[in-house]
Amino acid sequence: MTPEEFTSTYRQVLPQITKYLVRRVSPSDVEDLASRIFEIAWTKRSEAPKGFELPWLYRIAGFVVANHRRSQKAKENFLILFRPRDSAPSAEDIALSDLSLSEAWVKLTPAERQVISLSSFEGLDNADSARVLEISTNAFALRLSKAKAKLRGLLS
Amino acid sequence: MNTPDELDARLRKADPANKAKTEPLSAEILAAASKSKLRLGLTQRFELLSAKARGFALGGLVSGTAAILAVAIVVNPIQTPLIQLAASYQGPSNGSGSMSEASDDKMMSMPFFSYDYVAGPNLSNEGGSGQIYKLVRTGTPESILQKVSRLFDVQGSVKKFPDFSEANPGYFFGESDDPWGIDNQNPIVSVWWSGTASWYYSNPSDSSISSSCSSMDAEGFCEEWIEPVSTPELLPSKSEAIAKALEVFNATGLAVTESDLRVDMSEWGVSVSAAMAVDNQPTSIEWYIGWGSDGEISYAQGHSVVAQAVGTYNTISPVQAMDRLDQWIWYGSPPSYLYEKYPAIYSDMSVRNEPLVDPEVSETEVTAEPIEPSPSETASAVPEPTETEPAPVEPQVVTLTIVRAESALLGIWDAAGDVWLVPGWIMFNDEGWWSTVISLIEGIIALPDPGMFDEEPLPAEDSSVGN
Repeated sequence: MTPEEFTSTYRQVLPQITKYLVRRVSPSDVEDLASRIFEIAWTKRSEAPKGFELPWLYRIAGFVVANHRRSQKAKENFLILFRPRDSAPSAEDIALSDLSLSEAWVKLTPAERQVISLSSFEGLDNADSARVLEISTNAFALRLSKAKAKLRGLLS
Repeated sequence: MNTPDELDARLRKADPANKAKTEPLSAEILAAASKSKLRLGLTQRFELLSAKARGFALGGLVSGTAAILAVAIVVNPIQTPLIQLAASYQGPSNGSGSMSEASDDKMMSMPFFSYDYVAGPNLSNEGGSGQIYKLVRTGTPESILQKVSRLFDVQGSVKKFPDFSEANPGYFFGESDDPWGIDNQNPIVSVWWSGTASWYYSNPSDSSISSSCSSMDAEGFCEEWIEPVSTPELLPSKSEAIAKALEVFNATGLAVTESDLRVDMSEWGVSVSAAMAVDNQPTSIEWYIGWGSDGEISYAQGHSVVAQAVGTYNTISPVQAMDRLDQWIWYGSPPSYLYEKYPAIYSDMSVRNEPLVDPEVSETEVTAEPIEPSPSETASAVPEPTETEPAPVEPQVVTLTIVRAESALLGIWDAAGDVWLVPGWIMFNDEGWWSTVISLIEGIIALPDPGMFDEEPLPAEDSSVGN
């Protein structure tokens, strides 16, 4: 893949990647992390699944966001390093719109927040979400249903 | 707020991106990326590709095997592999088995470190042999559901999950036709007729962790919340919890005594768990039972399998297994007690801290110095990129000395959806964490053809509790 082809291929997903990052990190970090994501994508471009570039990017972005958060929080509290990876939007950001949803959101596990985010925020269908998480579509569907059921329970 | 449409609408409304003022990224960022000289080390490339494998080297939760690299001395090669590994995760995620969730939590992250493994002076160079077990499902989905339902007094009938298929063989028992509980407040029991035939009891009526709303705004959103209050007086006592756990576990095929149980108590709930033992060795196959703060049993999990001995096969020594440490394909799911006794840490930290020390390793055996990158080291590991040419990023190389190894039965999934227990080594390093390595000689386990997203090793049951 030439640089021109790379730019052509990924130009169309820039808005989605922008939103993905905006949901998860401070605005001042969006561009830096996006650069990181696309540098990795360029480095590993031969492994990008044709036709599924966006889920593949989301997967890379998940790594980058989780590590970014860890590196930020580790400066304050090293115990964060022992916690599960979490790349979902934060409860604080959700609280800007819906405080009760935020309170429920924080009670979900990182994995539950992740599946709901991919579906409801990123708007991926189950197949693409499953590709991000590297699980079967059925497994994702079950996981999503379970997570939503728990969220509904927390909200009720 | 209990229908799917309402929840989706509420989530969309709360999307943090709705309020963001950030402009879409410029395509210049793509041009800059394509000029990047960023180089991922072999370990980075591998680990980024194989997200779940991250956990393996860190005391992995997952299992995975395959015979790709000839690294072991083949003592007794066999012509046809005994186990054909699956190409993708086939376990349940309906609560009856939550390995993948735990895996995802702890494994998907890009490393900033690569590891050089060094064999400690006391590491054994002796191979041997070990028994392979296949976990054979017992009973039928119907009989399992009925048995578990009787234990928990669940009413209803046996049904298939709405998305039931040959590859997705989920059954449940309950009054509702909707196992995912859109508006279901009744308990259900589900079983996944694959792998270890894991079953799961869930009682959604436990609302102990829900906050309640004291006043709503005009749009129906809560303005003022009443903080939940714990009710420890409703919880079972430790002896009551143990008695109930023994009753449930033994009734569902796990022969254990009180000394085999792990009990976790807090003001919000109680849980009891125990591992299935095979040949007197604990495995990653776990049973659980848990109480919510209302004092009701809110979940329980178990399996319906027996371990069938397949045969004894030659194994490699811990020293020979060193070569497999950075090959995720050789990792298997270890017994859960390891996570309590030796907490795994993540090596993908951006900042490293004081290493943990294996309590069973003497001070003289701990040779590595604590690794705390100085500003200069950090700078050299992650150089500041320039506008024209981003500097290469090289992972920090960490040398880990494997100070000892313990034998264990490790869980793996095969392509037919069955779970096996195979001999392996738990390799303890001088930072106090561990990795698992399957110790079978090469040729016994065959790797599937790698697919686009199917390059991961397959998880077996772990210690995580489904929600």
